[in-house]
Amino acid sequence: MSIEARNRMNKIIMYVILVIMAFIMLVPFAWMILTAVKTNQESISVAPFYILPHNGWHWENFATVWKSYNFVILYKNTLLMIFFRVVCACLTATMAGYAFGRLEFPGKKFLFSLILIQMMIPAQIFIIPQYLMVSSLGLLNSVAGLVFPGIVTAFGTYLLKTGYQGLPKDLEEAAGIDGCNIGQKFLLIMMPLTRSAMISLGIFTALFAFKDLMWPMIVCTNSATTTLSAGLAKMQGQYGSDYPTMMASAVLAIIPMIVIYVIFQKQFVEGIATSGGKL
Amino acid sequence: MSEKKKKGMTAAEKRTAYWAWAFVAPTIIGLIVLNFYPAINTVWQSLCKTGDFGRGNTFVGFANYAKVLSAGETWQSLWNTIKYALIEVPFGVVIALILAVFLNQKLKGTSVFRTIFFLPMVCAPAAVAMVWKWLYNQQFGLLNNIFHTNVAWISNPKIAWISIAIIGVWSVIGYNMVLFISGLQEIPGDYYEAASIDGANGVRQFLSITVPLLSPTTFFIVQTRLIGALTVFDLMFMVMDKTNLALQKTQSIVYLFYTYAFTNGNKGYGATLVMVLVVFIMIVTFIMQKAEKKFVYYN
Amino acid sequence: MNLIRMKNRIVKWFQNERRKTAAMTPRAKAAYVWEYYKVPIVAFVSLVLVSIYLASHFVTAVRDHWVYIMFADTRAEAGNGSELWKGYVELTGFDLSEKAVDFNSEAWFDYAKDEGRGNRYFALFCGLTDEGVLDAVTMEADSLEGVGRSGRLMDLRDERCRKIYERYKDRLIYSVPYNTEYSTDPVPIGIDISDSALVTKYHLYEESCAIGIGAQSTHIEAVEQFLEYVMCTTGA
Repeated sequence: MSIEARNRMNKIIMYVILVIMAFIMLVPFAWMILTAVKTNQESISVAPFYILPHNGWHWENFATVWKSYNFVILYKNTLLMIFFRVVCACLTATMAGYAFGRLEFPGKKFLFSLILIQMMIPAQIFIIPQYLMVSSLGLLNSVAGLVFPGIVTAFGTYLLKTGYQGLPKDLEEAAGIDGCNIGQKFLLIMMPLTRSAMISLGIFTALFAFKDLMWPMIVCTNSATTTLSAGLAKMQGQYGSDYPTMMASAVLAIIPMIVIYVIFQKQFVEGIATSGGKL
Repeated sequence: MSEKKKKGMTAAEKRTAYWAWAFVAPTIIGLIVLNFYPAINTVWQSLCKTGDFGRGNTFVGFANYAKVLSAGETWQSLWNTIKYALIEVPFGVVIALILAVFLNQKLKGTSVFRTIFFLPMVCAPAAVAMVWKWLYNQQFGLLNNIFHTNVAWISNPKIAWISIAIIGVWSVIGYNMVLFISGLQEIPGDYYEAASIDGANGVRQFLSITVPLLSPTTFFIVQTRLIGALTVFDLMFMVMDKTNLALQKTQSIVYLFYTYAFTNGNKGYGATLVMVLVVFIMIVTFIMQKAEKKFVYYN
Repeated sequence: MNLIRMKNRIVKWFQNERRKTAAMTPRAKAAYVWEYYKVPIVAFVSLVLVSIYLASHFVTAVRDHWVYIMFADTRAEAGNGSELWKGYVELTGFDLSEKAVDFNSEAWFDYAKDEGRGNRYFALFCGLTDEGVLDAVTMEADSLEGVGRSGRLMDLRDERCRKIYERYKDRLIYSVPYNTEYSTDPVPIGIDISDSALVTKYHLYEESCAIGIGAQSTHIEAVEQFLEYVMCTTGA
């Protein structure tokens, strides 16, 4: 077989695998949309099981949900929370990640073990003490209160430490000769090189912030200050098992998240043209 | 740090140390306030008997530990958690790695695929649970209908843990994939070009360039996913009802913690379970950090 | 020693920068400073702004509660600012600038149905009760009976709520504790208030309504006032 033909073969195999996987991954999303346009009875019926809506596609469910909740406020709160959490997390994590990945200092091992231990503790135990802190700071029902537990991130620090460790050693030495101090070296040379790790941290921070349900529910008792996921949980509570309404609102809620991801990932893979491998 | 050691450092080392401390300070201070202070509170609770119906807590020393460690339930749930991790971590990592390598090629439509693989992560948990519950439904579910079987996927204690772990694998693929793609971005393209000129084929390139150069990212993913899998919780009650016969054989240790600390109101006992789990993960992590030196390649 | 050296270094750095920018126009100088120091400048300014914001919140915060009452699993509006809340604040005359009166009606968990398993509102209820924030909770009677088993509600025979116990003796709701060391007999943990204003006037619940006191509550008198408030306004 010629190299040309083999490459083609490889490509076809890759596409087949990708398409199958894509189909598997798409199922719940498709399910959300299909449920959203059903009637309530169809959505819970199992004995004749309906994949597609039986009594017509009820697109008006989306309009009903949109009208009955103030999505604009919910979007705004969510985006503000995501924005500040991403900025804070990237800032603190990139600094700490650089120190852990690149510098030698007394106490490094001990301090890094703190980072690891934080990730080991089930998150359920942090919530109430953090609530009491926010409450005593007077930050309930505010964006600052929403952002509060996301100011620092152990996960992100670890992620960026890995990113910095992966950079070649000689880079830094070359910069050292030019009389840069550590701060300048970090800011001007090292930080820009870990861009893709930073962007993936941004994506994850945004994602975790978006999915975080418990925290907004606790700190925002007021529907004008809460976020999408918590607002949705509230709808679930109110509508009980009205699945079409729930799913219609869930679909409306994840749209901004998908947009954020698409924007981010474009940045994220820009390097592909220069560094992409062949298979 | 001792005074002696400080004197032993050169001026340059000292300067480095100052910078480094300044860099880690915000993160460490934040973690201490936000996480370690509550954690210490948990340690204290694990030494107390929770007062209920308005009585205060009483200090009981290690009585909770004795109870937790002698309960068969604890070990069963720890074993369930380990079994879950043994499926979720390897499969999640390998599948995501393959997909990430595919998507790092110059193929058409990669950005569409990347977005699709990301979708499960943003979907409403209720939708995910509904889909999987239906797939696994014994009478009307897709799986039994396709294979013409009559398997109780999530209520047979022998296989329920596998069914749960499959959902786990499915939900972490996108997460691992994003990290792998970002790791792949950092491998310089000329390595591959040099290898192509030498006539190395795709699989060879993958094994001799991608795997070693990606090993820091892989290690990171394995480490964080292992911790994530050992603290699994949400997945369990999303799919398992409390009347499910297989609950005993599938519930994770955090699930058990939740039952004691929340439903039964025995916070001291719950806190002790958390301590047992944390010690266990610390041991695993310690072993992994030793392995890191052997298997991970840093240039 | 170190401080002097650090000061010298800063002075030297400053002189150095001054020398570099000496020949520039003010505009170019600003551009130079911005080009090389934009990250620290932005970071510093935002840090200051955030600190001011946090400090102002910290100073003006209302920290303590007069009372915190949760109305679980109701679809009626009974939170802060609702009719129910207004009436209570008016009756008690609590000074809201000093402490808060919190009514939380956004807590949907039906304990009788699924023991609140995996329900985040239930987790919140547990956390608030354990921390002593929550003073009282209302829900349907069968749910309250279930919740009471965990010991999160006060044993009404306790000295602290003797007044309430005396007064509503004939309406008690009992549940059997999970903790058999405490008691193997049913413990009174709630009061049936199905005929109160919560049901008749505000329609929070349809079938029944019961109230329990948080086990760590320190505002029992305020709860007592609340009870009086909802029982007296019946039919009014």
